[in-house]
Amino acid sequence: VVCREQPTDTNSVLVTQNALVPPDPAVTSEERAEDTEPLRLPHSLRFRLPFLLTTLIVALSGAFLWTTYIEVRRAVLEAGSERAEAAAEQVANLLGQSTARSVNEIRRVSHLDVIRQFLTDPKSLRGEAVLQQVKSLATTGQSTIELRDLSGRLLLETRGNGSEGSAAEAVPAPSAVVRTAGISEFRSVKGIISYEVVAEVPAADESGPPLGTLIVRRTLSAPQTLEFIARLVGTGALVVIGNRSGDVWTDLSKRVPSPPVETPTSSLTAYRAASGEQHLGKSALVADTPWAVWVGFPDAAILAPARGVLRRMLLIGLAFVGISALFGLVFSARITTPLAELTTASQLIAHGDYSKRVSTTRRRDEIGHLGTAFNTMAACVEEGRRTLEDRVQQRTARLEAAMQELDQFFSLSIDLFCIASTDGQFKRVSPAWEKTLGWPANELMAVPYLTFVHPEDEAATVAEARKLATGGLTVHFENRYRCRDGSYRWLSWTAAGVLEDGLVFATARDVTEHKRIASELQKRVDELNALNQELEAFTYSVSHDLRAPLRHITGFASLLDGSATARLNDEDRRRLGVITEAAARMGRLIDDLLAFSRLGRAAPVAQRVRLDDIAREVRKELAARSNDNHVRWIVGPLPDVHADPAMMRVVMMNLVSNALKYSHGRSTPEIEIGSTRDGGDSVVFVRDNGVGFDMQYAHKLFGVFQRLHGSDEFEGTGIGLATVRRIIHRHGGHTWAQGQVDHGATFYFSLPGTGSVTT
Amino acid sequence: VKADIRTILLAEDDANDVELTLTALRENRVANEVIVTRDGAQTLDYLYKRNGYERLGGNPALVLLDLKMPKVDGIEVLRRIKSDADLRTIPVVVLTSSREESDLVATYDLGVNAYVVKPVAFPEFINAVKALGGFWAVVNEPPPVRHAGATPQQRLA
Repeated sequence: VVCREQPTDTNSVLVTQNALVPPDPAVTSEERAEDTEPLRLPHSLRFRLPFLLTTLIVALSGAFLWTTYIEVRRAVLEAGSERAEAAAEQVANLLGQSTARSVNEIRRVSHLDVIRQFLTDPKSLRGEAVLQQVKSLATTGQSTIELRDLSGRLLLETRGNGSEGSAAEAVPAPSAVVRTAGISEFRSVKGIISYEVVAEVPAADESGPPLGTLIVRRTLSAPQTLEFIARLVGTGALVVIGNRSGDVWTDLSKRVPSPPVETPTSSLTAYRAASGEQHLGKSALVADTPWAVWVGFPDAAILAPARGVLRRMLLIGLAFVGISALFGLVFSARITTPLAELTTASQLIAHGDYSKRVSTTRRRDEIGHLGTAFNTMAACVEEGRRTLEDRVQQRTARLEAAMQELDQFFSLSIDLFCIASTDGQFKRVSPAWEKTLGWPANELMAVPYLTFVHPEDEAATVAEARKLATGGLTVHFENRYRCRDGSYRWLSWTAAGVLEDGLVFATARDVTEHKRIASELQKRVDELNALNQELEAFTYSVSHDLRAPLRHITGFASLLDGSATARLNDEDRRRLGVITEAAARMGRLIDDLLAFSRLGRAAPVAQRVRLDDIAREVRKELAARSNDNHVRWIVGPLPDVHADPAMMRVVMMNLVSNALKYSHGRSTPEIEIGSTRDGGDSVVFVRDNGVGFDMQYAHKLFGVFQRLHGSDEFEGTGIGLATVRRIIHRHGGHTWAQGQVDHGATFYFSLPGTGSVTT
Repeated sequence: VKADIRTILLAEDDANDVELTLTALRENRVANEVIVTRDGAQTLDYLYKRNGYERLGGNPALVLLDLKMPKVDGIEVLRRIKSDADLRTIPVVVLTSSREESDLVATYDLGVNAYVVKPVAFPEFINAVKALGGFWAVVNEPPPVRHAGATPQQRLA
């Protein structure tokens, strides 16, 4: 795995530093609060996954179970229905047969002659005889036999088993008696349920109206019947008999509520027995009677198979659900456990522990991949962090070093460094402040800095500070600060405002001394200017007023010479000549001195000058002036220089004429004009083979009126070399000379090197 | 004095110079009438015919002007002459001791006609004056006269 790192430059590293150094405590605690909030169970995948799985399986199983149960129940009910129907049909048939026999018997008896006779003439027969005849009708239990005539008058009555008395009470009023032949409905009197079998007694010839009615009244309470039925339909079945019309139903032991009797019955009907047990069953009609039977079985008995199936399937389903829930738990645990581990590891990394790794990397599924990727990421983060930390440390060290250096400058500088807020307060001042003004730093920073500013400078300082507060720059702003001893010192400011910080960074220089010197200098300059003006006036006067008397001397001497010629001897004329010559010589001196003085005032107008040309012209001019045409000239290549051409001409003229003058006595005067270079300077020399000079007087050569030879020896005013020196000095160069008595002299001058030697 | 020979005005404060100049003129046989004024104010009075100078004739044929004079210096006189419509046609020659560059610049700026430095040696001075008088008073044709001739107050000849 390769951790690829983004290329970072210094700035971005410095920026990132903020993210790496311990973050704000407030932020951290907030983040931690978020991290450590426990996962609520309903939100947990560990719960949700099995829960969803189980719910799904429960729903599916439930639907399947319910469908199956409904099907099985339907089948079971169908079977129960058939069974109940068959049983009901059977019971109904049996009852039908039984009653049919009873009807046939009573009809036979009613056709007996003895009955007819008795009805025709009750007095003709003894009651006992008749009773003997009908006694056979009372086949079962408690039966009562009645014989009534057409008007319903009871003619004869028997009671079975000696219980006539009670039976008589049970007999209803004659009007209510059923007269039609056949079986009557059940009737309940005082808890005893009974019914009647009725037959008409026909007339003897069979065509006349009937003679009377024969009635057998029977109670329905026969244990043997119950037994019979139980044998027929099996135990557990409920058999109830009653009227079709709906009332008077019995289970043969007591009266019961009537079951639903529907004709035709298509489905099972429910019936709650007297015992409270719920039954399902079917009804059937008893033929030739107004009776019906209802045979049912207990719900439990009928539905038992379906419920059994349901129970078994429920068990299987539950087991299935249990297994799937377990499986879901295991499955989700396999997903959520590594996720929890990842979460923990992520939180650790978020809190700065980059060494945490997860252990799920051996799995070959997505989670394994996730774990591997996570570990790679964590490794990269760790390595990146370490790299960055290293860099940050390096940068910090460098920054600290730089800061220390800056601090050194800050505290060592003699300039006054300070940081001030834009509201007029020093925030930091360098030690130079105390050295300069005498105020300790804490006193300077305790009050607004305007406190220290000279009252006259306050307005200007406030204006400047306002400019700085809007991000402006201050250069060469000057104001006065009060020292601790009460004196004021001038400070010259350079400052810049930093808007976003609301700070002003400023350095101030104590310029008090500088200003004092400057003002002194200005005073001197003024004085010098005044002196110069005086000098100018002086030279002006010299040029005008000193020359006038000379002119007068020569003029009047000349006039005298002309007017007194006859009276003058030779000596007188020689003396007049000396006067004239002296005046003329003084005139030249004044001219040279004025020229020299003018040089001091005129500024050189520098341009490119070809010294070669000047040397040639000077040589030509001087050669024309003198008569020496046997001078040996050696003129080397001379440089072009940056100088005032007229002044250069004066220089060359003076030097060359000097050389000519002092080599005049040689048999072959030799004059060399050449150049060398000294560093960047051009050096020009003029050499002659003349009388030379003693080097111990060399320093006097370039002075005004300084001469090394008497004027009777060599003519001259003593101004020439002084003029050369002044011109060369004004061009920034130097002059010097070398010589030896009788072995010639060499005069040098140098000019700052802007020119180049031309060949 | 011939009617057609016009006057030369010599403005010079130094009596020696006046004498030498007049001598030089005489030696050179310059016949013009020479009027001498001894300072700048007097010179202007003469030119403007005031304070006792009431001349009948026209302007002088030549003004020889010294620069360094009391009261009003030569440069100021030159400025007045050259800025006056009636006087500016008069040829003005500066005749002075110095060759100060500032004087040269100032006078030529004002329109001086010639600038002559008095040589120290007398023969040369004689020659210079001769040349001046010869050229300006004899050879040169003066501008046309616009006023009637003046009566000179002071004659030195």
